[in-house]
Amino acid sequence: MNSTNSHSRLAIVGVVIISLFSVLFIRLWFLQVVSTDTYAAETKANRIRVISEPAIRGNILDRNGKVIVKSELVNSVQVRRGITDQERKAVVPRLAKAIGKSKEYVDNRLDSVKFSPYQPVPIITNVPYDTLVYIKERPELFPKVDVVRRSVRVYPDGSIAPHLLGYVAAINKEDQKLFPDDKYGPEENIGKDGIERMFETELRGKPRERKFEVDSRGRLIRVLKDQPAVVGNDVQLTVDLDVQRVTQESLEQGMRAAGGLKNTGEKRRYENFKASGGAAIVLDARDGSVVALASAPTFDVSRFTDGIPIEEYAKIKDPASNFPLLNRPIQGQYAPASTWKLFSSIAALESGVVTPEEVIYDRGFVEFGNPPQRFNNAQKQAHGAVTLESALTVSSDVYYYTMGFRFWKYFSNRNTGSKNLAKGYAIQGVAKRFGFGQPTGIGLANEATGRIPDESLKIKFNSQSPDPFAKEWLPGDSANLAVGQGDLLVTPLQEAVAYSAFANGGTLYSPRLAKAVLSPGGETILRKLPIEKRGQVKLTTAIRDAIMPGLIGASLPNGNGTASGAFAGYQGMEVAGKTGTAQVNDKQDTSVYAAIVNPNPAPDTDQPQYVVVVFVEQGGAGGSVAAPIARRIIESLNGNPNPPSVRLVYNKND
Amino acid sequence: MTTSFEQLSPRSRRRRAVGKETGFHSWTENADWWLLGSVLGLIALGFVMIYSSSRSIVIGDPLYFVKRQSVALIVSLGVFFLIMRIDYRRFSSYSLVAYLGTCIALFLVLTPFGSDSRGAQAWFQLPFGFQLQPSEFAKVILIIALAGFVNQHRDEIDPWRLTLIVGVALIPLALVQLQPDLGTNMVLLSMVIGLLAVAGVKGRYLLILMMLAITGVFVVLNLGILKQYQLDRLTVVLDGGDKKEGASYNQDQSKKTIATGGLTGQGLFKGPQTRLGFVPEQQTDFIFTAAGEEFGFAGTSLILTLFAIVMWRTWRIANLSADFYGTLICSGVLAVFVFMVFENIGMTMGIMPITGIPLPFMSYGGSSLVTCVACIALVANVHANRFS
Repeated sequence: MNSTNSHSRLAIVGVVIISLFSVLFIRLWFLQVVSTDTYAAETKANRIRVISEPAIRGNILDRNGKVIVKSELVNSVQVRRGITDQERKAVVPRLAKAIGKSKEYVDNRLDSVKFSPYQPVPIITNVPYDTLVYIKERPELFPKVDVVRRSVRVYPDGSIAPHLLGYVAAINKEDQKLFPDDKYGPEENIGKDGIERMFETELRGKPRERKFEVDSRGRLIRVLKDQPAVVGNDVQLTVDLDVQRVTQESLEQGMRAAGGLKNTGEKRRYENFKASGGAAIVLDARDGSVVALASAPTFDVSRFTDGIPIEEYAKIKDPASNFPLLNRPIQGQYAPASTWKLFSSIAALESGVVTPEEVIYDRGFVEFGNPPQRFNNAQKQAHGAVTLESALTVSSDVYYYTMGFRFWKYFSNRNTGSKNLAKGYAIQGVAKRFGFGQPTGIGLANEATGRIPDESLKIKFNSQSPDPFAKEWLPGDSANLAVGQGDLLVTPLQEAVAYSAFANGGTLYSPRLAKAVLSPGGETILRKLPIEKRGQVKLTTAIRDAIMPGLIGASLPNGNGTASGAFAGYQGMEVAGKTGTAQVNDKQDTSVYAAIVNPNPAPDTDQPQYVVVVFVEQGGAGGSVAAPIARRIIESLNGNPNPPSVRLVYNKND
Repeated sequence: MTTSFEQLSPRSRRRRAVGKETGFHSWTENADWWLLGSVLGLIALGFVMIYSSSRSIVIGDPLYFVKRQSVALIVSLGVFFLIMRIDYRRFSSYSLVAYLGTCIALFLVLTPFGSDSRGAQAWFQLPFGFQLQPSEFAKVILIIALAGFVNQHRDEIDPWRLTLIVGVALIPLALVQLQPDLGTNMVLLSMVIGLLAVAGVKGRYLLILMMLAITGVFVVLNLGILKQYQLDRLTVVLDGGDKKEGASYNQDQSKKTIATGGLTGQGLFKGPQTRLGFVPEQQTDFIFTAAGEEFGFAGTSLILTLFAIVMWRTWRIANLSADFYGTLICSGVLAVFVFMVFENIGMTMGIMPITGIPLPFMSYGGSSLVTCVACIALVANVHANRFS
């Protein structure tokens, strides 16, 4: 061994040291320069806690500024989760007595799995001031019991238009996905449906957000941000609260009355009508505003706010309850029956299949095809010589069957001329133009599209059928379509929108539910909500003028129209309305009525024009149930907030 | 045995000539200011980081740890000047006494004279709440003792003598292991190996020794001598920290804290991780994370550079030493520092397991500071006496 050896060993040691230091430098570079951003975000989450408290939700107002839904601060009794068994034993009976409920009630609330395990259990909302003081002054009697102020939804007019308004309830995962940019607390209320959902962002306001910095043990170090809550904005609807109330009442009255009515149809003669569901709509034909929208049966929206009890929800879901949650104006799909004749007429006049002057002889039935097949009027009633106008007024099916056969001839000759298919499908073409077969764009969830039948649809539907005729568009299909039967399905709202377009001369609107967003308290208009035109429908004045008198005749008070009985003694704005009675397989007839209120407003005036559409499932004839319901609604449009009750008409069958 | 004049570099020859002409020199006249300056810089940075990371631990006295560390600094300076007054060659005659004294102290600390803290029986309680950690001093004393022993037998280290040397080292190691303090033992092991390497022990013997050392560490890990939390900390790097939440928390927070600093840091006293106490033991073993967060890559590079200078100068002095004994002392010191720095900084960055090894000069802890300064004093002593 010599010093050269030790020097060379030291050199090796030097190399080892340089390598080790290089490793440290590289690692430092990686941590502090390359990946600093990733880690910075993690350390931020380490020390920042955010607590948000919901703001007071905005009100929902009617078109005249009346409050439909508001938020109120109420005193709510809640029990903290940390309550011991011993405390609970003592507290439950005292608390039950103080709030005037049973011990079982309090126990059930405490044991309910509905409430978050991390939050106090709400026992009762809206206790009187005396109770509040009683509980607050005796903390020794009520350990772990708090009285807090909570904001709750209040419905001053009771359960009005629940299908339209929707409701608020605790947020779930699906809800959060719909509002990815907004932060919600785990139990925060969110608009679940209807207006509450459509205008969630406006109504919610901004929650109070407090950001804390905490240390490694979770102790508060300082408040980084305390952003005060911003009360939610108000939403002003196009709905008129008075008309809405009358509409809902009338629908329910009419349905109840129909339940007392014998079904005098050909089958099941001695059975009462079930009147299992109904829809009623009032649209402002000038801009598509929804003035009233009612669905029956209905439900109590306030039951949903604190989470609906399971047995109550089961009852709502039971088919025997006729599906009260279904929003029939937009989700119900029905055959429009004779109310469809308006659109058949437009198609026939446009394509020259009939002229307004042509007379067709109605013997109560018509035969077509080889071998001849017979198509009957309702109850085989013969109307004699009818024109387009009188066919609409008395609802002659024979006239429209004849029209349908003529369309079918064009259809069967479709290969001989390029325009023939368009003529053969003229009704389908008009239907599409007027917005059938597609959602109206009202903005409510799960809107149905309806169905316009043609040969390809028929083939698709019957692809499994061995019957060759099931895959062919037959004369009967055209005939049924002309009278609004067959495979045709529409929603009540589609019908109302299409009638509005006819009434106003051809402008097709998206139905509008809200007029404006207002500042909290409704003081100033923050944002006007636009009228949405979907398009201009081709509709000549000549055609409109040829059809309108027939509709007016159908609803003429004391006339010979199918709805004349319903409008007996009516005074007010002129009504042009068509009845319909739709046959449904295995069910009683659907009663339908669609009307234009003030069909011919004086030019250059601000006269209102409305469309009223009523459908009653299993309600019987349109003239006897739906039309009287509509009449009462129309009375309210004439300014009578409390018209006499719906009186059904017993003799008209179409 | 001394290096002959002819073997030295021209520059060293010149210096030695000057020394010869002027006779006695105070060590300050040609001290290695690179070395001492870097050490002072590290100590100063250590004080700043101790303040930053400990000011909210004792409520009402943000300077609590700084004050206590100042006492340790004063003691360290005393030790430094004391060591500088004595020619290091005279230490070799006290090797045996120092060695035996250390062994006795390490034994006594295991008896009721010592006290238990943080899971290890490693401290003597002193007045005014100060504590003495004999395993720290064992580092410096073992350097002197082993360097002396190796120096005596430098040309005749056969397997028998090698076994004897290792046996001498093993006694204090075993005592430290009973505390238990695996970290200090790893430092001691690396010192022994470093010393023997520079002493010229044959490569294959060194290899066998290293294998034995590694085996020893594994035996310790699996023999149940360590407490579970110590085991967890050690193995968390290997396991990726899935199961051992408590242990991986330390390393996780430590890594994050350093990374949060970025290029230029969050600013002095402004690092949220440091300020809010998210890194456990930050003023002691994890002091590097405070510097990492508040000064960023710029600051940590400076610290690494200062350490690199300390290593470089120590290595240089090992080369310059007038005798082999000095070379051995410097090598032992070098091995201790390299291992401590790499292990400590490596563990804060998640590339080494967590062991209770402080960062030299910077970590809070009096025994550690005094020991590290004493080590530097030995090196400076070798440097000052390189001409005689």
